[in-house]
Amino acid sequence: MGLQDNLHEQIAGLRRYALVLTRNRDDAEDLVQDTLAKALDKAHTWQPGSDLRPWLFRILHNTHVSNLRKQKVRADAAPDLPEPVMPETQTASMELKQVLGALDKIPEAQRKPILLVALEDMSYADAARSLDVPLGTFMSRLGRGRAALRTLLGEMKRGKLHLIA
Amino acid sequence: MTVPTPSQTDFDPDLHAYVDGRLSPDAAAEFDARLDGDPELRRLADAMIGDRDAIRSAADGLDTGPVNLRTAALERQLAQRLDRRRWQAAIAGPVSRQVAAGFVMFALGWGAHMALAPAGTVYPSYVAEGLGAHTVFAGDTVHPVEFTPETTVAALDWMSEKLKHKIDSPALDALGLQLVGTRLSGTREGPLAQFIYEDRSGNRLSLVVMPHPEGAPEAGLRVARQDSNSVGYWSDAALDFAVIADTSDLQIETVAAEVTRNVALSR
Repeated sequence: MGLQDNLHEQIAGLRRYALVLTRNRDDAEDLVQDTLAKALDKAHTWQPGSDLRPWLFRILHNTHVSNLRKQKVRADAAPDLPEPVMPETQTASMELKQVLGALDKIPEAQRKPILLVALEDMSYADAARSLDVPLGTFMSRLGRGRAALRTLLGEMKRGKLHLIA
Repeated sequence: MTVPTPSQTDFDPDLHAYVDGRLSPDAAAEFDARLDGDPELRRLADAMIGDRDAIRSAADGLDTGPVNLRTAALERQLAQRLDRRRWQAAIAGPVSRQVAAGFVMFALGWGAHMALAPAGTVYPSYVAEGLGAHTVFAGDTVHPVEFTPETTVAALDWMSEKLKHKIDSPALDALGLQLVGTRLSGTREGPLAQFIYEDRSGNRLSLVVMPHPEGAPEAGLRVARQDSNSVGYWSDAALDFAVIADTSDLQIETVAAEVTRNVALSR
């Protein structure tokens, strides 16, 4: 696969990941665009011949953390403003809504490893590198996060309402 | 809701690798056998696979919008930037010093000269690069080429890959020009292949080939003079060409016609 096709595929992966991470189409697109703009500035740090994916995801993660920090500053500065209304996300079924809802309840440090291995065919080592954490920490967060997800989904299914999948 | 403390099983690296399909076939079969003997672990593995698939489906369900134009533009820019970076790294091999020396000469010599060229002498950038390459390398009778005619075939395959188009060394024997060898250089616009030919008296001619920018119009042959050199340049849908030699414009047109004929035959 040529570099152009490879990049196109990786950006589709970034968008997919960003959508699940932010749960908002505009935020996800902004995150992807910020990531690409930073990648343009940091093109000299990419080692030709190496996999583009961990390099791009690392930039995306750093951008995301930095955006969250900015959002927090804005939120702290305007405590009286009501929460913005997020557009309802189109989801195929109740089961998928439940999965997304459960993911939202998991701490972000655990959510990212779960999403990376579920959505991206990245090695654990590359995924850990893209998050700037040691492999041991990554595996520990993955294990903890998946256990939490299991528990949350189990509780949702045990609810009184019969939800149609 | 309280999340119970994860058990040791939750941290089993083999379990995660099994769920994520990252075990070798042998290791996966071994783990399968372990699951056969442990129904509880089998249930957990199946549930984790179900969760993973549900996350994938949810992501697919979210990702249905049209491609954003700004994202697409950034993607194009990044592809170009990375391609250039890849290209720069490709020439940073054993010949890098030679190439670097060539560009220093270009910058100090021909490049500076270009700045003094009469107003209105504006070439497409690949022609300027080609003129520089011709001035620096074709005149060098000791080390003018990277690939001799014998090694050119293998080099051309590599070049074809870099130029993203199959190129053959255009034989100009019919015009009495023998291939001396080829060079591959990097420019701001991308890779540049330079074929150096020689006539019976040792006069040199350069044929320069570069990938034609996507979406840019094709252009018919134009001939211009740069000092004693005549340069003929044209573009087809795939490649940009320039022929440069210290000769008459008419001879350059003849060579250009022969190159075009050869290229058409090889496609």
